[in-house]
Parts: sequence; structure tokens; C-alpha cells
Amino acid sequence: MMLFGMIATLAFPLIGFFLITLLGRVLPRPVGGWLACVSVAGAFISAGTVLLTCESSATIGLFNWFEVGNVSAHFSILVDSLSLWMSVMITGVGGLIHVYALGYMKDDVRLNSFFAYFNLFVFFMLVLVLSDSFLGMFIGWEGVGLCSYLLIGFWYETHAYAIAAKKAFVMNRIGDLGFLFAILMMLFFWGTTQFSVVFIQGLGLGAGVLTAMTMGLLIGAVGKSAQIPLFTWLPDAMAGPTPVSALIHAATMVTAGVYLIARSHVLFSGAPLTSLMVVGLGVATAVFGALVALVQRDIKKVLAYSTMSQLGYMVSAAGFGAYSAALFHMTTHAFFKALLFLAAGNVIHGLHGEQDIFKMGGLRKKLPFTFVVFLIGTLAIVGCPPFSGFFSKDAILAEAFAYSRTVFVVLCVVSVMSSFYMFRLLFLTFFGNARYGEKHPHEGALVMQIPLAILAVLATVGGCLDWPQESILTPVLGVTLVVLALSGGVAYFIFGKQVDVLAKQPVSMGYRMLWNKFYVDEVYQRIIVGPFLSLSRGLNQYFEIFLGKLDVVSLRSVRWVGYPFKKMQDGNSGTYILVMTVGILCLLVGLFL
Amino acid sequence: MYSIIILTVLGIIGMLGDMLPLKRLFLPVTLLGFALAWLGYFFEFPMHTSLFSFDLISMCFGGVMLVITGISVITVYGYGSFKHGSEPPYTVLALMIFATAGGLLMVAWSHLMMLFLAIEILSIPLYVLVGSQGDRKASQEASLKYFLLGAVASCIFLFGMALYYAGTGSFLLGAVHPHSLVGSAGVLLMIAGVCFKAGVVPFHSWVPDVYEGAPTVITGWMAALVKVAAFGALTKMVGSLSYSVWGLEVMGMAVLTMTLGNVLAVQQGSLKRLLAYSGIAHAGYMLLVFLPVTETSITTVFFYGASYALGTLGVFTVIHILEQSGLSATVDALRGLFKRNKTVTLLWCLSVLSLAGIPPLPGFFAKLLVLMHVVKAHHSGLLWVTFLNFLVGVYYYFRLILYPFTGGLSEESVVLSVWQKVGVVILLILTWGAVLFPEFLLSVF
Amino acid sequence: MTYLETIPSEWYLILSAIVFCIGLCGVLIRRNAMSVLMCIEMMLNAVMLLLVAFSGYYRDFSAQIAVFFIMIVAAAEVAVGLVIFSMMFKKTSSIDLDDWGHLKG
Repeated sequence: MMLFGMIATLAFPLIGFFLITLLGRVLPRPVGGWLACVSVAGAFISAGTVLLTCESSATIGLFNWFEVGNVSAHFSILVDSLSLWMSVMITGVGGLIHVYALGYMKDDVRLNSFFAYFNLFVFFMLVLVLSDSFLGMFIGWEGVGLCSYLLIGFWYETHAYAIAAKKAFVMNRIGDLGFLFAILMMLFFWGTTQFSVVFIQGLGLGAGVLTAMTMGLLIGAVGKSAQIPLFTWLPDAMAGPTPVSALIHAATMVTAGVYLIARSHVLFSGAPLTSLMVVGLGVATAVFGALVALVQRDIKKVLAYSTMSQLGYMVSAAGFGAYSAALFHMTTHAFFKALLFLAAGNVIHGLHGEQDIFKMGGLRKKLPFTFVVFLIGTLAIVGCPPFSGFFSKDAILAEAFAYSRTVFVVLCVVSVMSSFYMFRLLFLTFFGNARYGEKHPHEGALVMQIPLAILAVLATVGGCLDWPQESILTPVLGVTLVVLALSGGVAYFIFGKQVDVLAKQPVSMGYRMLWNKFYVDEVYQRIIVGPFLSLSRGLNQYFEIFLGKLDVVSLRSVRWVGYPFKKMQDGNSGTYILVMTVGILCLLVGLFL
Repeated sequence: MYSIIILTVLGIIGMLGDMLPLKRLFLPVTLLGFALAWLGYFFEFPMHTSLFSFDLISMCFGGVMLVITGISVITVYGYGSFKHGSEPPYTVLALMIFATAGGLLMVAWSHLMMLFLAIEILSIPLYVLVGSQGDRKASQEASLKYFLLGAVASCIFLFGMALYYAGTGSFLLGAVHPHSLVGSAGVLLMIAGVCFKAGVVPFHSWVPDVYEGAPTVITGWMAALVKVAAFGALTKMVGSLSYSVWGLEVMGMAVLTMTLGNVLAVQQGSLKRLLAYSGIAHAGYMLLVFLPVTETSITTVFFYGASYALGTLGVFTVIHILEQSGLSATVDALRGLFKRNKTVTLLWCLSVLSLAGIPPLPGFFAKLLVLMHVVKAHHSGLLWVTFLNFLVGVYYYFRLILYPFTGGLSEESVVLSVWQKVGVVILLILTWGAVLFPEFLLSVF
Repeated sequence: MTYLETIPSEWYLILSAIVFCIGLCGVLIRRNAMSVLMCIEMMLNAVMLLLVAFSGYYRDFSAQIAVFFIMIVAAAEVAVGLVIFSMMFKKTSSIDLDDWGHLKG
């Protein structure tokens, strides 16, 4: 049962991908989409069945990839509560977003290839979470990176989108190098990357080696989960279609870094220095994301920075050992962030591609359904009880309180900021006067509303999935409500009234700082890309001659070595036979020596 | 024995091809025959007589050879019908099948006379096939050179066999250890004769000229088939001969072979010559596996041979497709290939990367196995030479990878015939299969 | 068979080695394709001589059967060789091997 179920989970999206790719030209367009939805639904059902029926964890051997000398790689499926829960979440949320995309993308010319990529993404994500070795995980890791690249640049005719895709690809490769470095270390020390071997033998290594290995893993996680300093690709990744942002850049792929840290927590627990860095990076990212999100004007960018901030929450939680809290927040975040993105997609869809929140407003009456689900999503993300975000944030804050007061306070401040920018977004979009001009906003089709409704329910009740054990619930409850009321009130005061918001834009220095995302892109441009380019230009100028010389010299020396051999190849069959004869004579002489 | 009988019958059918009714059935019957020929091994496995021994080695190497010829038969069949709508070249196909029968025999002998016969059954059709493009002078020249050198090499092999007989009184290897100088000299001459087929320095001179002159479809097929067959035969030989006789000599030949191959490959502008020299280098790597013969040698040489065959077939298929689109087989002909046909470019890149030994392609595992073998031999000088040679190989192969993505000479898209498409798809599937399931080949021995 | 044994076996070995070397030298020196083919035949004859002689010496018939095989293969090889030479002759009206050295490098 378990074997069959797990193989079916992996096989469904893969078969879907191949069917849609191979039959893409033959199939009528909606059929390709439905096929993709059915395959993900099939994966969800099989993963769900296994989750419900199997109590124990197990490893299902699939096949030996290779066994060369003492280095070996086996592919097996790791079935435990973590991997099962992740796969149910991926296929569940993924399936809903697939259905939503049916409506959202229905006019696109390349609908079939969109769904093919989507299915492939789900497959690689499942490979990532179900592998029982770092090597298998790495394959999934690269696969989701590839799909993310393809989907960010899905509308590649627009130059900026293609650039965004390339940026995401390059940033992720930097992270992947770190991951690859860790894998090579494992292969060097143990000849295998199986979790079962690595986690048992890992602590036997010296602290220095373990720190280096976990640093490699951390760099990988930082790249994938858009943490400081490799985060700049995530806001740009919003260039992709909104379902892509919801599935890949909010709910699943970007949480892979958190999964990686949580999965290899045995190693991290042996490397306190790395753990400290994880906490530091996570908290810094949480603060940074929240600050920048305060002033953004693009509805998807606000959500993107909020995703970054929430990922910072999870990463720091994983850093101070609150793995279950981090994973719990990851789950609820998948629900409400997917919900928010899809609702934002509804708004964008309804306004024919408008993404600037200062050109929205008053949509509450035009898009009542979207407003309700967006409100639910907002309440969930700001941590209003009894919505799901409250419980997961509470779990993280409780652990943070036990770990360090400073971290706790900072995370609380981030929480306040997040409620402010989310209410700002809500009020600017749905309240106040209508600023969208002559457009006629309309609700999306039924296929777009049903997934939203389901996600709204999940975002509401998701909190009961995992009740925090040690809770500081009661004091936090009061504080949260007060903070929520305050920040909501302030946001309403500023953005909710029927005023011309554009006129009220404060143009202080701090604002400009935030608006330009602390100039990080510019700083990278200045201190990394710029010098790199001028260095390359310099190298090009001065070293090209040198390299050219080197090339010539090496080629010449190769020629020199090859000269007698080349002489032997003069085209005359007599020479060839002579060479053979001399060779034979040498062999025979060798015998006598 | 079934496999050889089936192939012979298929060859005769092919010879009569033009006259037979139901010509449409020729290709299916041939491919079915290949499948049956391989299944035939299972019915008599293992069979040891005084002339033949059909064991695991013959089954595995034979299987690889049947796959090589199967794919080539498909592309050659398509080639004939693609050009001017003429008949498929049945004679060429028949000769290819006969040569394969020789190849199968080369890994299934136990009597030295059978080895000689196998080499000749493989070689004689090859002489004809290499010269089968009668209108090209290069093809004839290649045929002439291959014939002359091949005949001399056969004589050397035979003289070695006669000396071995004179020294030991037997035609069975390993039955008697050659204590005498005469017997040892015989062993060396026989190894030289087989090394000629494998393209090992100093018996390599025919390789670049013949590869360049032969029709490209034939070049790819014979490069793969002959290398696998020759190394299969060598595997069978060296296992039952005492290392002290040939060890040092073979080490010298291996070092010379890989160095010469790589050094000359760097300087080539013609694709077919470049690949010929790189093929020589690969023969050098494969020779390293016998220094000394251990329990992993057979696995390594088998896996290396299979991955080399796969890469070579892919590369030459692409070159043939390029030539059909009106370009000569130079490195520059690759320019702009990516814009002209993406599937063909994919096959090209995968095959070249595999030959260069980039993970996770099968060529990487093959090279890794060879390196591990050299490491185990505890010979640091040899290790460094091998490693340097790998690096030189990566250098010129990467040049080949970059060219398809640069600006092109020609912009028109490359059109494939149906059978060529089938061949390309099969090669792609096999390559991906080898990426995903290398253990399938690694664990047979 | 006794008359064979009146001559020591080494002499056969030396004789056939000499014949083989003469053949090989001929292949190296002669540039006429027909002569080269004949020299190759000579090398084969050396092999056959050696086999027959030691067949007598070991009182073992398998080598004599081997000689028949070699004769047949040699005949097949010569047939193919002659065809190649005739094609060559059609192109250049000569069978001088030195005229065929365009593939090189």
C-alpha cells in the first residue's frame, strides 16, 4: 500500500508532464490543463491515503543509481511524517493553484506548456521532499530551480521578465554551489549522502568540518529561500504569472531552504556557529522584508516582501531549534500566502493587469468575494486569533522567547509591521475611493473562486493542525489584539479614507530608503556587479594578451609534443606500416629486456 | 551459437534484398532478428565447447553490439530512402549484419582460430563498407589503407598465433602457460593484432584516415562496434594470460595512445578526424583497465565501451545529419546548430558531454571507474598522466559544445527523415536511460 | 612423419621467421599494390609453414585444419583486395600506392 501510494504520488505529475509535452500539439487546449489538474489531484489522493493509513516511517528503496568503488548513490523514498506532510501540502495547495490557473491562464496561447512546467515543478518538488539522500534532494532542488526559471520567464517576450528569470537563475546557482560543496564533502567523508548514514556519522566529525558542511547547506538554503544576501531575485520573480508566484514563490519552492535546515537539524545542532548565523540571517531578513513591504506600491511586490519576511521567521525559528514551529508556520503560510496571491491575482485579472495599489481602491463592492477571502488571508497573516497564522506565529514567538529576549522583541516588532503593511494593502485596494479609471472590475470565473474558497477555509482553521505545546498564548492573545487594533486603526486612518492618497505620499528620506529597498540592488550593482565588470574589462584589456599568449604557448607546446606523431600521419600507407613494424619490434625487444 | 546463425540468415536475406517480395518487412524482420539473436544467448547460456564459449562476457558485449548495429541499421535504412526516394541500400545493411556476426564471435571464442576467423568476418565487410561511397575518392583511399593495414595486422596476429602454437602446442589460451620465449612473443603479437582493431598506438595510423574517408553513417557505427568488439576480445585474452609477459608493454602503449590521441585531437579542424583521435585516446583509457586485471576490470571495460559507443553513435549521427544539410564535416559546420534544430543539438551536447566525462552522464562514471582503477594500481605517474589527458579531452570537447550556440553559417532548419528521427529519439532515450540507471550496466558482472 | 623430425624444429621456426620478414620488408618497400598483395600472401605462407611444421612436431592435426581456414580467409581477402585495386585503377589509371595519400594530418 505504502509502496504503491508513494510511487503513484511521484508518478502522477511526471506522467502528466510527459503526456502534456508529447500530446501538447494534438490536445485541445483546456484538456491539457485539466489533465495537469487531474494528475496533481491523483498525487494528492495517493499521498493523502498514505498519510492517513501509515503510522510508521519507512524507507522504500527504488533503485541503485550507481555504485562506483566506495561511492554509492541509492534512490529511495523516505516516508516519515515530515516528508508525507510536505507532499500532501505541496500536492494539495498545488492542486488548488492548478485549478485556479485553469481560469487565470485560459486565454494564454502557450497554456499547455504552462501546465507541463507546472506538473514538472510539482514532480521535482516531491522529489525534493521525498528523497532520502542529499543527492536526490539536490536533483529535486535543481529541478524546481529550472521550473522556476522557465515559469518566471514564461512571458519571455517581455525583455524585463526574461531578465528577471535570468536573475533568479543566477542567484539560485550561487546558493546551489554551497549545497553542492556540502554534498561533495559528504561523498568525500562517507561515500554516500543517505540521511541514515550522514545523520549518524555526522556528529563524529570535528566541529570545524561540520561547520563548513552546514555553512554549505546554509548557503543553499539562503539562495532558495530568498534570505539576505541572496534575496533580490524573489521580488523580481513576481514577473511570472500570478499562479506561479502563489505556488512556487510563496507556498512551496521558497520554503525548501527551511525544509533543508529542518531535515538536517542533526548536523546544525552540532555546529553552533552556523546555527547562530541561521538565526541572524533569518531575523535580519524578517526585519528587512517587513520594512520594505511598508511602502511598496505593487500589490505582488508587497506580498513578495511579506513572503521574504515570513521566510525569515521560519529560517530563524529553524536556527534556534524550533523545527516543528518553523514547519507549522510553513504550512499555515502556504495556505494564507497562496490565498493572498490568488486573491491578488483576481484583483489583477479583474483590473486587466493593473498591479499598482494606488490605482485601485474601493474594490470592496465590485469584488465582494475577493474582498472576503483577501480579508481572511490578511487576518491570518497578521496573526489575528483564531485564524491559522496566530497559532503558528505564537509557536515561533514562544520558542523565540525561550531562546533570546532580543530575538523575541525583534520578531514581535516585525509582527506589528507586518500587520501594518497588510492592512495598508487591504485598505488601499478595497476601501476608499475608486482610482482605477474607466475599467470595469469583475469577479473571476467559478474555477478561480472555488480554490480561493477552499484556501480561505484552510487559512481559517489551519491552526488546529498543530496546537503549540508550550504556549504563551494568554498574554500574547491580549497583546496581539491590542497591536492589531492599533496598527489596523493607523493604517485605516492613513489609507482607508476617501482621500487622494497620491497627494499624501510623504517624501522623507526614510521613505525613499524603503521605497528603493535600501538600495540593495544598486549596492550589489556597485560593489559586486560593477567591479566585477570593470575587473573583467581590465582583464580583457591587459590579460587577454597574456591569456592569448598562454593559449598560444600551450597550443604550441601541444603541437610540439604532437609534431613527431603528426609526421607519422603523412597519408602514405607505407609509413603507417613502418610505424606498425617499429611498434612490433619495440614490443619484442621489450620482451627480451 | 543461435545468435550467430540468426545474424547470418539475416545477412543472406539482406543480400537478396532487392529481389525479395515484401520489402517493407525487411526492417522489422531485421530488428526482430536482432532481438531474437540476443534472446538466443539465454537459451544456451553458458555454453563452453572447444571452439566457442558463450558466457556472460559474450552475452553483455554482444548485446551492446546488437544495439549499436540495430540503431545504425535504422538510420542507414532511412538514409537510402531519404535520398532521391531510392531503395534502401540492402547490400550495405547485409554487410553491416555480417560484420556484427563477426563482432559477436570476437567475444565468444575459446579457440584462437575462431578469434582469427571472427576478426576477419568483422574486417572484410568493413573494408567494403568503408569504400562504399564509390564516387568519393576519399572513401576509396580509406578503404585501400584500411585493407592494406588490416591485412598486415592479420598476418601479424596469425604469426603470433603460430608462434604461440609452436611454443605451447595448443590453440587454447591459458591452457598452457607460455614459459618459452617463443610462446611469449606469440602472445605479444596476438595482442598487437587485436590492438590494431582497437586503434591503439602504434597500430592506430588507419583510424583517422579511415574515419574521415568512410561514409559518416558507417564511421559512427564501426567506431562503436569495432571498439566494443576489440576490447571484448582483449578482455577475454588478457584474463587468461600471465601479466608479466604483457603488463609493461601494454602500460607503455596505453600512455602513448591516450597522449597521442588527445594531443592530435586538439589540432584538428575536421570533426571526423577530431573524433577519430579522441577515439584513439579513449582506447588508451580503456587499456588502463588491464593494469592489472582485477575483478572490476570487466565491469569497467564493459561500461566504458557501452558509454563510448553511445556517445560516438550520437555524435556521428549528428555529423551525418549536418552533412545531409549540405555542410562539410568541419568544426565550423556546427555553428548555429541550436537555431536550426533543437533536438539534434540536445543529442549532440549530451553525447559530447558524455564523451568528455561530465557528470551525471554515463561517460563520467566510465572515467571515474578508470581513475579508481589507476588509483588502485598505486602508480602515481600513471595517475597524473591520465588526469592531464582527461583535462585536455575536456578542453577540446568543450569547444565542440560551444559551437552550436554561436552565430551560424546557415539559418535554414535541419530536416530529418522519419527513420533518422526514430534513430535520434532512440539515442536520446538510451542516453537518459544510462543517466538514470547506470547501475543496470554497472552491476551485470 | 619421421622425415619431418630429422630436421630440428628450430630450423622451421627460423625459416618461417625469415620468410615472414621478407614479406614484411616487401610490403614496406614495394609501392605497386599487386606486389604488396603478393608480399602479404608471403607472410601468410610463413605462418602456414610454421603451423604445418609444428603440427607434425606435436603430432596434432588441429594446426593443419587451421591452415585450411587461413587459406580460405586469405582467398576472401584477396578477392576484396583486388576489387579495391580495380576501383583504384579506374580512378587514377595506376596502382601505385604513393598516389593515394591525400588523407593525412
